[in-house]
Amino acid sequence: MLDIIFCAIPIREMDQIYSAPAILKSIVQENGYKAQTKDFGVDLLDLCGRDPELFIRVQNHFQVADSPLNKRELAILDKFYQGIVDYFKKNPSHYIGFSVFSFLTHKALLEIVHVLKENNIPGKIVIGGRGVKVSPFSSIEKLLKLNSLDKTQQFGQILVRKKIVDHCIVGDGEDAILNLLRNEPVQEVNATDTFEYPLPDYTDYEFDKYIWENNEIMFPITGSKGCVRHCDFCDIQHQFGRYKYRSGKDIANEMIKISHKYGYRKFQFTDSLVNGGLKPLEEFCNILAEYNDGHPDHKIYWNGQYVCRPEEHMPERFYPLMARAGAHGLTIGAESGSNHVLEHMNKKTSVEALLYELKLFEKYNITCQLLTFVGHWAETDEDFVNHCRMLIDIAPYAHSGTISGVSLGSVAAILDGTPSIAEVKEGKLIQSTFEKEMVWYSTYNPENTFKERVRRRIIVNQLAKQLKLPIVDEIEFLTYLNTTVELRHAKINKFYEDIRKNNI
Amino acid sequence: MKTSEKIISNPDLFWKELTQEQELVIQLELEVSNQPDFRIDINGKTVYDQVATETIEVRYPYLNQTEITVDMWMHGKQITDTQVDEQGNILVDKYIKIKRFIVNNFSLEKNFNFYHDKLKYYNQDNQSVRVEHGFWFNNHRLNLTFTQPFIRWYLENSTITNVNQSMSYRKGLSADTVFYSLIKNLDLLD
Repeated sequence: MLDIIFCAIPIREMDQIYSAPAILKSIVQENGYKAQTKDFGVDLLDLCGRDPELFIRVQNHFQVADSPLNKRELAILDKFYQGIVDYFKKNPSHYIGFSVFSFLTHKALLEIVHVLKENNIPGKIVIGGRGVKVSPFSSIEKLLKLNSLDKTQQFGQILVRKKIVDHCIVGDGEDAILNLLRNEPVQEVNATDTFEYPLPDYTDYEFDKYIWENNEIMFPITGSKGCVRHCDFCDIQHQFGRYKYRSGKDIANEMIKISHKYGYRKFQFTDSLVNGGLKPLEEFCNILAEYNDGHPDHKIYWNGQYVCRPEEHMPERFYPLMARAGAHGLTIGAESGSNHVLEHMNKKTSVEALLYELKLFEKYNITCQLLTFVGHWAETDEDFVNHCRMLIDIAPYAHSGTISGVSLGSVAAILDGTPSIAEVKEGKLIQSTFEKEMVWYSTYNPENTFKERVRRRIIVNQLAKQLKLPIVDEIEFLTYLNTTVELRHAKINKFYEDIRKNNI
Repeated sequence: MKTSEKIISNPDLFWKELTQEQELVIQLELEVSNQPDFRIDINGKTVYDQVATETIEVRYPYLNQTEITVDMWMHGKQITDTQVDEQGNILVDKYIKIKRFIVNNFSLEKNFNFYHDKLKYYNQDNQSVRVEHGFWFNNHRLNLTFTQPFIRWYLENSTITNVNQSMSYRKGLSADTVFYSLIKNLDLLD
């Protein structure tokens, strides 16, 4: 019998590997426990016949309460849950660990746990990950029958209190998981300052079952936790606390070691940003650049999230160095094309800095993807037009191949654990009770209603098509928005009508 | 009426407003050998005529002109500027090689099909020949003719599509059905 199985569950991106199960497996194994990892997202993709569109539609079920599924999709879900039951019958374990990657994982977790209990699957259930530290996602409030007090509590706490799961590990799980297995007390919030753990164990991962660009596997690597920024729409600071990072030498050596051991040469940083500290970045790039120069046929490539800094903060010498070190496909949170909005987001950057960054990326042949969204609470009509202008300004870089993807996002969401919640507490932002993340009202900017945000999202979609931008994640975001409008329009209309009546 | 409502009701007007341009900006990155004389004319007006440097930037306000013609060529090359050895190998030459040709931020040289299909190249006898990435002969001329604004003309004529099918599954999925459904469903909201 196994001691623990670490599981990843939907909603999943199938061009990314979640490293948490592999990291935890290696730690517990080194301490004498028997462990296994399992990604149920891969099974769901298989059940969808590896059809990405069907996979997205089925996964939409986990995002929206009462999502309409057709017969075929329902049958897939039934098979999915039966497969999970069969798996745990074949692989009994003292503990079953679920990685709750974000609030988007809440509904899938609840449904899976329900099925396990119905089928009397033994094993204590332990959950961890970023998604346990936030309040429950709107899509599950009905499932959990939450009262107004519950809604202010963290998802993990609620599940333990309601005895839906046995344990919840909040924060870093590397040490806490050992305490749990040893029957020692686990702290309420866990934090670790070190990265000195054994190499993650990926032996159970079915790498070929993910969907890779050009069929090249991207191996996950972690260089830091947390973020140097404190953007108002992002919960990373809430999740990870202060920014912690490994030395550049340590990261580069691990990548070289993995490359030699497994033969993988493409890496994907799991970090919130790869350039949080310029000193470790330079150290890391120097080692990898030298390695790549000396191994022209076995060059190492890497991508990750990259913060756009003001022009004067990122000297030009970094760009050719990053290119030599194998940087490609970096993901930049451009967010908005309005400096006014960027300022309110606390992004500490500007549209001009983004264009400067793109110019240098183009000059040194570094590719990137941009993340954007519309409808931030501070976004006025003028800001929105500026956002559209930014899409025009980035078009040349998309046509040259420097920008390999642009995500137009959903519409602005007010998420638990983000600095914008302070505005909610002060009564400046009013969230709906039924779809609190997406449907909200800004007392600063009353014109910016949900309908207005959807309209703006439609406009940027049309514009991006005219500009022939390489749009990514379009179907996921639009499906979610469309389902929300279809299912919730009456409630949304009532929410704004009540606001108008109360003359807020 | 809100701005977004106006845009949705007349997207073409918004598109035209957004893509308006006041001027043409040409940026060239060149490899130059033996101080070649280089000239750029826009709509018949000389905007550059001197020994070529490795980087050149010229700006040309459109004013009221719609059709824009850019011509560039090397001139003043003498027969003695090309020296060959006994086997005919070139030892010394005077030439200009175009490394980058950027028009209003669009890098034309990166779009191979566009560069070769939409630009024109003429020999000294004014006959249209294969488009080259530079100038090795006297008075061979590279021509770019477009209707301003450049961005609209470029987008209409570029063969690059918005979706790269070789990329990951997150690109290339058609969202048209759900997109049109969302447009329709927008009316459900007050």
